[in-house]
Amino acid sequence: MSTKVQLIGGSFQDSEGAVLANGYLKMRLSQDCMVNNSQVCSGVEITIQLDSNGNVASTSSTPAASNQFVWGNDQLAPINSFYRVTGYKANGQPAWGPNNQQVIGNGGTFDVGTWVPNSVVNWTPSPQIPFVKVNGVALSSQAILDFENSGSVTWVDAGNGQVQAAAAGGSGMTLVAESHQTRASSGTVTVTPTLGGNFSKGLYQYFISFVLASSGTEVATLEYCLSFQSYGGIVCNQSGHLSPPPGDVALTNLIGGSSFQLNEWVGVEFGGQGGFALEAQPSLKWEFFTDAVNPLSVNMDLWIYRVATLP
Amino acid sequence: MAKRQIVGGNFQDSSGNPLNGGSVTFRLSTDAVATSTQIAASILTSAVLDANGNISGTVFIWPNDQLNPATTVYRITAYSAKGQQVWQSENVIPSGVGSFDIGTLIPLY
Repeated sequence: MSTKVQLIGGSFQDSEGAVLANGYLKMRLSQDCMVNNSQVCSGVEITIQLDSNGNVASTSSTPAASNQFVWGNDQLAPINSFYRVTGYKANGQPAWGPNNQQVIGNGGTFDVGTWVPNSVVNWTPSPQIPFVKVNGVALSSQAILDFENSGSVTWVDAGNGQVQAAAAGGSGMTLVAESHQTRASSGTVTVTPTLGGNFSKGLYQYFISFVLASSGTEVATLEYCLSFQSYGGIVCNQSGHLSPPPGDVALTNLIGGSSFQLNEWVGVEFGGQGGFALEAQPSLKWEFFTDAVNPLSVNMDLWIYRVATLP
Repeated sequence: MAKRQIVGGNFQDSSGNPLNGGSVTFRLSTDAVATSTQIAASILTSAVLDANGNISGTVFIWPNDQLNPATTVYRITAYSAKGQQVWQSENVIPSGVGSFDIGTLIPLY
């Protein structure tokens, strides 16, 4: 519940310091307002009496007068109201204003001497409509911003004003996680994809991504990504050998494998060299060897992705 | 479908002095129909304000959400006891249970 504010102070005077003794203020609200389920009529101009010192008259004035109250603008609805205030000498001559001023407060007092003439400080700006651009060019509609799905990007309203984008593979490709396995082992590591027991047959591309991390001194973190095509089987080149020297890692499969150095960023594509029947549970084996001097342990996080459709 | 009684208002000036003996009028923005009843916009609904600036007597008007077309509003005007226009707004009077206190309206004009 709001309460009116008592006006005090002001010390209205002329440029020589002669006060507006027994003058008065005329105050008119800028618009009709509502407070405490009551309608405040702006059409009624109110008069605030000044005392012999040019201050708003009150019980502390000499001679004493009634305290004078108005509604604080911050208590009124709608917001952003103000008073149009004109100060008069006792003989009715306009002397100050008219100026737009606000009274702030809920109960208590408000010193009109704090007014900066024609300064409205309690102001809530109207919502600012943003000007939307795309790549520096104004959007075709400034009234609607509609996120539309495309072939490669899907939009989701995540709530709370958040919009999330999910991007599909480029060129119409979609990566489908076929298998994810984590192995921590020393020595030979065998990874056997178990998703449904089979890789999907057909003209798919597979991407294998794994991260090796080791506490040994010979093996450092290696990220390796290779791709191969399945023409009904796993096809790899056969340039590698099955028993790599210490410090090397061999990727073996049903046919053979390829070796690569650790501590290197290696990207190898296995081209089609023919095919063979896809086993029910094809296995991919990585073998790690130490030099028998430095300890080796390997942690592998393996992801195997299948490209759902070829470009 | 029913008219609704209008009460309250507590009309006053900026110092809180009630609009004692004033009046308030309601003018529908356009002719409308409530079911099969034609409402004439040109005829004002008037009410006198009591010593506290509240509507005195019994005043009923049609809520706007019962009228067709659906876009009607009431232009509500308050006058001092001397006939001076001191308050005006355009608002929707809603349907509801019991009376409607126009003191709850936020002036829109």
